Amino acid sequence: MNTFPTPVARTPLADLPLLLGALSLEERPLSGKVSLRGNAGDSAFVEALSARFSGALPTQVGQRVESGQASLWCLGPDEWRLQCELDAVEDTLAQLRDAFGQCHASAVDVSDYYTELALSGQATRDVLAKLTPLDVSAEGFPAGSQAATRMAKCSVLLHMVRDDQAVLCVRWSHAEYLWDYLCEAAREYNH
Amino acid sequence: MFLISCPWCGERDQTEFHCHGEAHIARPENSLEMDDAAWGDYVFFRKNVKGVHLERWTHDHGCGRWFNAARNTATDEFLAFYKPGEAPPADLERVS
Repeated sequence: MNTFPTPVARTPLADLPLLLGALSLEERPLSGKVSLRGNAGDSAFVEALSARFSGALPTQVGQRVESGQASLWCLGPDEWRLQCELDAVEDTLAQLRDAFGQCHASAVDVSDYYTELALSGQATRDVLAKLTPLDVSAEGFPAGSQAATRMAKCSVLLHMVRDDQAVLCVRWSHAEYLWDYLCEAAREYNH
Repeated sequence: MFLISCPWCGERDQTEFHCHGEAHIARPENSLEMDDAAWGDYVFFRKNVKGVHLERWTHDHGCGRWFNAARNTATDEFLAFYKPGEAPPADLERVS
């Protein structure tokens, strides 16, 4: 009788070698991601989120607020992405759903729907510019900026953590495609 | 590079967007009484203007939202961008 190996939790690019050199590309360990939908004009919804995040709810697309280990990104007029530690997702979901009560809102765990790639090095912006139509110059996209955009043929949430580091949040099934594209784009900088 | 202004994200490259044809086509309310010709008109037939055209767009690779745009089909110049549910700007020079 065939026996199947015990399933092991892994991220989509776990088997690929890291790209290290003047530019490094690595897959980040799985983090917690929660997709939030709701009406920014509904005070019950805003209060439920404000209770967890000190300060006002970001309502400009691209805006991001941080609170401890968690961050909240505004992705659209009625959509946010909450990022937190993987272990905290279950509690966060329970708390938010409880806080939402009767208001028309949803909180969904999308932690393993996306994976994150970190690209670092002096030429980070040059490599990004090969893949996206967005202005990723230091003036147009300063450190700390984030935007949802296109990279090659896939949709990516791009976060410029520092001038020499970007984190790309991409769909699980597109991850290997983007990885290959980034390796190709980075080749000329990695002697 | 052809720039499109998403009402939520601002100016982005056209490759982040997709056009979905003519805007402001309301679903008929008397659908039970409509004959085939009227259904055909509603489902298949669209204006084909040379000039200002009101059309629906989505920002697929950005915020993912729908919005409307007024575009001159002859010059490919965008005249206005507005959110769904809003009326088109009144001051457009329509050619129909």
